[in-house]
Amino acid sequence: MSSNISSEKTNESSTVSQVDPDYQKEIFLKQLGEHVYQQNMKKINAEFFNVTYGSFVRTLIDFYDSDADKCNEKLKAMGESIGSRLIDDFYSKVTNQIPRCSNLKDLGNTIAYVGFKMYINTVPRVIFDETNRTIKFRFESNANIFNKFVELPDDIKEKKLYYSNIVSGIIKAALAGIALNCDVEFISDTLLDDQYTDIQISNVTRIKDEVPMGQ
Amino acid sequence: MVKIYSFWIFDRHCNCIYAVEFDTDKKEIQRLTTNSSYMHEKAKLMYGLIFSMSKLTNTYHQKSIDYKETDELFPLETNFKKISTGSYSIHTLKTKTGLIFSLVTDINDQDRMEIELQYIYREIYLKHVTLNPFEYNDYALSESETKGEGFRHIENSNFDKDIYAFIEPLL
Repeated sequence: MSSNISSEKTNESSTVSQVDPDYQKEIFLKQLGEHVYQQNMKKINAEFFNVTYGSFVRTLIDFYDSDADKCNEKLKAMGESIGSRLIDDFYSKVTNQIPRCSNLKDLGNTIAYVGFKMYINTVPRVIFDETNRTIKFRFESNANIFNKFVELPDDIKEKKLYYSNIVSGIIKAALAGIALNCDVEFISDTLLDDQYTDIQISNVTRIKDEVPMGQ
Repeated sequence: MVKIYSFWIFDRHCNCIYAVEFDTDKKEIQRLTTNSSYMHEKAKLMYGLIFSMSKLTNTYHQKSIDYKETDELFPLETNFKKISTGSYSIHTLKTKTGLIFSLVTDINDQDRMEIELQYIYREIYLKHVTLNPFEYNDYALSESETKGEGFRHIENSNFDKDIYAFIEPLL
């Protein structure tokens, strides 16, 4: 009992003496996401969204004769045309409150705590890999709202259709809008009997600003 | 009372995608159209001015805080907001997505036009252009239309109307 108390005390003193700026930034981003979600976002009915997206993927599968690769590709392409518009919407909604990103970890946190929170009201866990310079967004079993009501039939499951692949396209194009080139892909999905849904961002590079002809 | 002489939007490919010029007695309005070479020439000059000013601003900014270019991914940038001359001033807003909104006004204004430019971006541009699925998202459709060589521009009557309605009381 006494040891517990003493350990708590040391913890407290350590947090007071050195406040981790990264941690502070995370808290701020979480609050910002919550605030923007409450104040500036229009909400729609979740069931309506799920049914719309479901019928849309269903049509796509029928159109491509259940060719999962083509469906994944098409979903991603559609996501890209959404994302390139969404980035302007994002910046106009968060206004000037958003702090500047100074490293990849910040970028991941901003996408997760503000971006995902604003648009789908779910916050994934952010796993940042320092050595490979990748960011992973991990959704627990039921957290991905795209997957609600969905159970894939066995033949499509075998072909590895990533049902919510549109999200990867959205992230890719949104980052391209702020001059960051990257690869975004699903690496696992709970609908394919994996434990988590993981979306990975890798190979982030900067697109050089364009200069006018003759400069 | 502020007098507005003209309003410009440039995209990240250095192209002018919208321009409108007002006369002092509110009568004549010059617009950017496909075959008005006068406005295209002017747009190029305008972009050149803004481009070189922002280059200069960034150089001085990085010098002033003793910044060394180590982080290629997230460079530290600042934006200039206003140029003033003896007879007019140019207010600009550069968004994170690379769009530049610019208003040319007379020098009588005490207030900065930042709020107005933000409003145009957030309410008018977003509503009529970004979220409109039938507008281009990127006005340069091919490689040859980038780097200031593009010719496409916003042709959206609702956008025109809203911009005019917003700017008219300020004229």
